This record gives sequence, structure tokens and C-alpha cells, in this order.
Amino acid sequence: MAVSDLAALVVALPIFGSLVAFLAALVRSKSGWPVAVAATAAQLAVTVTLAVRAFGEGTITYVVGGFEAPYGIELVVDGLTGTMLVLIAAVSLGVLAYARRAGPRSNPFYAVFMLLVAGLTGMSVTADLFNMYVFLEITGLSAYALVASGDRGRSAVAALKYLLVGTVGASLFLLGVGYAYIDTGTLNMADLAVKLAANGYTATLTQTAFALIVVGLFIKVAVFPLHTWQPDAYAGAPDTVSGLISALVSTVAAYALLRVVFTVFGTAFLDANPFAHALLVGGAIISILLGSLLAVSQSEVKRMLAYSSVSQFGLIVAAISIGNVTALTGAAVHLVGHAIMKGGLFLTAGLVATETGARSVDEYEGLVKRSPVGAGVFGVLAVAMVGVPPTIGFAGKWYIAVGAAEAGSWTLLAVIVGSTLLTLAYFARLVERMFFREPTADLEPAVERADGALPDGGDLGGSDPGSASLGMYAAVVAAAVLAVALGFAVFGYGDVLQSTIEALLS
Amino acid sequence: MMDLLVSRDYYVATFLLLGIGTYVMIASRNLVKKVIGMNIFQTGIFLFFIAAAYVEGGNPPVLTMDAPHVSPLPHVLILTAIVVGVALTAVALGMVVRIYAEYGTLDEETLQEVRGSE
Amino acid sequence: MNVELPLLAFVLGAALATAVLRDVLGAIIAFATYSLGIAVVWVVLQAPDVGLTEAAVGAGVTTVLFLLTIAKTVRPSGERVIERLDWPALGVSVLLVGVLLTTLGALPEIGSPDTAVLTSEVTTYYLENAYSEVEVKNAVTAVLAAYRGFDTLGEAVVVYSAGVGLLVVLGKEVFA
Repeated sequence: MAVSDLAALVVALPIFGSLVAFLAALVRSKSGWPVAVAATAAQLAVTVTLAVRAFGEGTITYVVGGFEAPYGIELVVDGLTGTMLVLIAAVSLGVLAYARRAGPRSNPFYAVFMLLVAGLTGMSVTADLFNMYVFLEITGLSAYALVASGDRGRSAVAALKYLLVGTVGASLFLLGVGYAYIDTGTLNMADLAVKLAANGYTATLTQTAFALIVVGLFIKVAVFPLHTWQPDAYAGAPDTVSGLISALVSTVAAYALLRVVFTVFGTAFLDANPFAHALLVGGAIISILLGSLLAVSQSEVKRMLAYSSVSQFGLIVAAISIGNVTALTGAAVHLVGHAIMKGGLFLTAGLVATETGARSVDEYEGLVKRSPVGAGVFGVLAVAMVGVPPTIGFAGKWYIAVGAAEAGSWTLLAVIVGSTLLTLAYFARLVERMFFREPTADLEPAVERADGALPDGGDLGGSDPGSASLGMYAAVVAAAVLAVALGFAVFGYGDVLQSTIEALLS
Repeated sequence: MMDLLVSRDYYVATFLLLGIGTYVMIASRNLVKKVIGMNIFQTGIFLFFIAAAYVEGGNPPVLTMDAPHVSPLPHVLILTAIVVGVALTAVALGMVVRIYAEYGTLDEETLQEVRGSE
Repeated sequence: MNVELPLLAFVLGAALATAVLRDVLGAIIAFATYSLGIAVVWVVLQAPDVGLTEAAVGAGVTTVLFLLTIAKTVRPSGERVIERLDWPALGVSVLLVGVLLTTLGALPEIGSPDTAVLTSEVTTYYLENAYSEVEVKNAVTAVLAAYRGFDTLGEAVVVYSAGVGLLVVLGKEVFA
């Protein structure tokens, strides 16, 4: 098998895993978990191979069915894609370790879980705009269903809102693709780049295509004020699902935004259109500021984390608007870093709720005594999220800030530095409560319906209620360790990524 | 002006359908009607693509028929998109059924009142 | 004047009816009518495959799904026949239509033979090579099954994910 065939395999493997996880119920009920673990572990192995090759030997291209682009569909794996592929597989595996005890655990749940992996992977590897839409919708469909897998009414209401808003986002993306297609007659990204350049960057059709695609993806990334679905969805979903989608879904949408902005439209388009640049800068600044302010005012921990994501993705959009090598390296680093930190924080919030029942900011008072591991991990991840060196949270922000300085974007630089203080504002009040206050109320460990994490009617498989599994501890501790350890690896990573980003900007 | 509207009538219809779909999604208090609005919104975009493929006096892109043919590619894209639309509608309606089972209402405002006391 | 404008007026009228009718069953019937109208539009625009799919899937399956939903839930009855006008929603949709209309002049005339879509190498390539390469006379089928077969795989995955997604949403196990 040639290396390029692996680019198709990474999409096919999770789809196959999903089918097996679904059909495994014929043999035994609740048998989806081991299948999903096996498929995701295999996926991780393949994506690592692919990423190593992409970094070592350069971009890998695969034409599906042997039909050359632009007539057929092309898959492209460069360093950035490779990073996303490994991230998706690794985070999924971590969440699966957590999910074994925390649930949900029906076979269809794991089938949809694997479909989400397939959708995200497909969005990352495709080099065709309409194909990206198809995978965007597969990702969307599975994410909506996963949010609704909580057994409270709240989950279903949040999921329906997510579905309606998300569909509008995907549809606007599709309309933008339509404009680009009417403009050029092609859908292949590289071919589009050539033809859009030939048409001139100030053509109305090109501008409209850009605006619609960016706004559509803003909805998927949850950029303020298009974020309204996101806090409800993250807070209404079971803890396992919050961890998974907060780490990956917006991340891959932001990757898609980066890919489309630079591969299809390019820096020359941004230079020729002040409005396009303003759209990105405006979205970035509003998200960073208002996302943080809303995070400070939340009383529920998961909602606070959700608004924090709005703010953190503002940073990614800021990096895209800056558009130089340093800032885009920062975007890649922060996408990875945020996925690990935020996914870890959501899983930790779930762990804390399982152990102590605490779900609101006030209930976190004196947490260190009741859940030392939970409080410790939460503390480390919060410090990383604020951007204290040497964590990965620091590295991402550092690159983006240096990129802003290089480009002379002083307003953005001020907002990025200020965002650190704002992040500190909402995490400090939580960390202070966890470590420096006495517990006030006696809470019952949340099990069964109260936490929405056990849709199988509180079937704990014979274990004690309120006890967290080894897998749950392992997943959150791994996130904390990675958040610190990757901070050391990041500068080497920045070097190997450089050629990919330079190719993207040329 | 009239000429512009008539020569691009299908595109005008696309925009109006997007407008109607948006209105139904926002204005309707009933959740089922919101899903109907979503469907209208999507079909508006389908019209955009199919209209772009059309050529005056053209035949369907079947090679036994005489040229000129309309472009086959948008047709293929929209065939896929129609299926995506139905899939989304099915999942959305599944959620609607669950919301009704949980709260006994499909009215957005009543739902908010019921959930406020949760 | 030909069939275009009356047909479009019919379709838009049916869409408007779903917006103004307060009765959900009424809105569903209006939506089914709308879908049939759209299916005719596809045929008029020489897209018979799309028309057939729309009639079967859009008007057929979707309408059945809607009807099943109100059979399982409730059909709210009220004294009013017509919905009250929602001004903020109207503002948003008028704004959207207004913004999109500004791009109208840049869009090519409908049916013009020298648009980028029709003259593009992709369209010409399909029409010239579909038969020799894929051995299917219908270029739509050729593109669907061969050139863009990866999309069609995605389409199959979408249908499958809707199925398992529904099981998750409704909290059911098929084989249990």
C-alpha cells in the first residue's frame, strides 16, 4: 500500500469502525466501547504514520478513484493536516478512556462517536470545497446526536438549537461555495485559487463567496455573536460528549477556516479587500473580549468553560487575520493546545461532578479536600489556559502575539495580551474557591439523572455510585501532563511546521 | 432594473426563499415549523446551484440527447445535498419528539416557562 | 412570457403559506405543495434526476416524517388562522435578502451559454469523457458514481448517521 492510500484509509477506517460498533450489538449489548477503542487506536497509528511522512517527505496527495483533480476529488495531507489528524485520533482515544465508566454506553452511541471522528478527519484531509461541505454535515449530524444523547430534556433542547443554528452555518458555507463555483466552474481548492486569482480579487462574486464561507464557518467555530448554540450545547451534553466536542468540533472548523482562507483565497485576496480583513479582525476582537466577560459572569462551571472557548477561538481567528508564518504557527499550536486543555477541563468538570456532585462555581469551594485529583488537574489546566510558561497555553499565545507584533497589528497585540488577564479573571475566581476556601455545603455525589452522564438509567455496572474509574483519572491526568509537556516540545514543532506554513502563504 | 430581475429570476427566488426560511425559523414559536423553515432555507440554496447549471434551450446531461447539455455537476451536488437535508430533518424531528415527551409542549415560549422552573 | 414566472410565484406563495399558517398541519401541507412545486422547477431547469429525487425524498419522505411527528406529538389548535407578524424576524430576513440582492448584478444571466459553470473544463470534461471513461450515457450518474464517488460515499454515510443518530436521540437500542 502506498503512503498516499493512507489518506483515504484515515476516512474509511472510522466509518468501518462505526459500522462494526453498531453491528456488535447483535452479538452482545453494550459492546460498542471495545470496538471504538480498537478502531481509534488503529486510527491513531495510521494518522501518526501519515503525519510523520507528511512532515518528513512533504505534502501527500491522493486522488480518489484515480480521477485526477479537478474532475475528481483530491485528498491532501500536509504538516497542518497531519497535526489535525493525530489530534483528532489522540483526543478521541483519551475521551474513550474516560467514557467507559462515565457513559453513555449504548452501541449506537459509539457508532455515532466514530462517525464524528470520520467527519472531522474527512474535513481535514479533503481538498475539495463541496466534499468539505459533505463532511461538515457528517460532523454536524453526529455532534447534534451526541449532544442529544444525554437523557434530560435539556440535552434535547440544546441539541435542536445546535442543529438549527449549525445547519444555517453549513448552508451559508454551501451558498458561499455556490458563489465561488459560479465564479470559476470548479470546486477543487488549488484550482479555485488559480481561477479566483485570474478573475481578480475584487470581483463581487469572489467577495461574496468569501463573506458567506467565513460567516458560515464562524457559526461552526462559535465566533461571537454567532456562538449562541455553543454554551447550551456544551452544558447540556453529557460530560463525555462535552469533552469530545469542545476539544474537536470547533477546532476542526477553525482549521477549515484557515485552510479555505489561505489555500483558496490567499493572502493577496486579504490584502486587496480591507472588508475581508476587517471581518476576521472584528470577529476575533469581539469574541476575545465578550467571550471572556460572559465567562466571568457564569455560575455553572461547564457554561463558563464554554464561553471561555468563544474567547480562545477569537485568538485563533486573530492569528488567521494576521496571516504571517509566526501567527499561523501560533494558530496551529493553540488549536492543539486548546483542544487538550479545554477537553481536559470539561472531562475534569465531569470527574468532579461524579465524585462530589459539584457543578456550579460556588460548589467548587474547598474542592481540593473532596476531590484532590480533580482540583489539582483543574488547577494545572487553568494555569495552562491562562498562558503561564512553560505550558502549551503559553506557547500558542506567545507565537500569535509575536506574529501580531511582526505585522505591526498593535490593536490585536493589545487585545491578545489583555485576553490573558481576562482569562485569569474567570479562572482565578474558580481556583481561589477550590484551594483557599472551606467547603460550605454538603453535596451528594451526582449519579443517575442528575448529571446527565448516565443515560442508561444509572446502570453503574455494579460499582459504587460516585466513584470515578481509573480511565477517568487517566484521561484527565494525561491532559494535564500533556498541557505542560507539549509546552517544551512546541518550539521544535514550530520548526518542522515552518515549511508547511510557508507553502500555505505562497 | 426589471430586466435584471427577470433575467436572473431564479436567483431572486433563491434569495426570497432564504429570506422566508430565515423568517419561519426565527418567528415560529412551534418547533416543527422551525424545522420546516430550515427545509425552505436549504431548498433555496439548491435552486441557486440548479439555476447555475441551466443553459437556454439545453437538454438534460444525458449523452444520447442533443447538445447543448446543461452542466451535470451541480445536479450531482444537489442530489447529495437533498439527502443531507432529509437526514437533518429526520434527526431534528427525533429531537422534537423527545422534547415533547419530556415537557409536553412544542411551543417555544411555553417551553421556556416550563424549563425556567427546572 | 413562459412558464418560469408563474411557477416561481407558485413556489414562493407556497413557501409564504408555511410562514403565515398558524396550524401546523396546514403548514406541513403547504410545505408538501412547495416541495412538489420545487420538483417541477428542477424538471423545467432540465434536471430530471434532481426532480425525481425531490419528489420522492423532499415531498414524499420529508412530509411523511413531519406527519409522523405531529401524530406522535400534538397539533396545537388556536382561534387564530394566521400567525402574527414578527417584526424583528422580518427585519433579519429583509436584511438578508437585501444584502444578497446587491450581488445580483454580478451573477451571470440564467441560461447564458458562456457562464463559467458551462464553459469550465470540468463541465466540458464530464460531457466529453463520461461515456468513454465510465460507460454511462447519463453524465449525472457518471459523475455521481465515478468522478465524485467520494461525495456519494459521504452521502451514504450521512444516511447511516441519520439512522444511528436517531437511535441515540430517541435513546433506543435496535438489537436489544
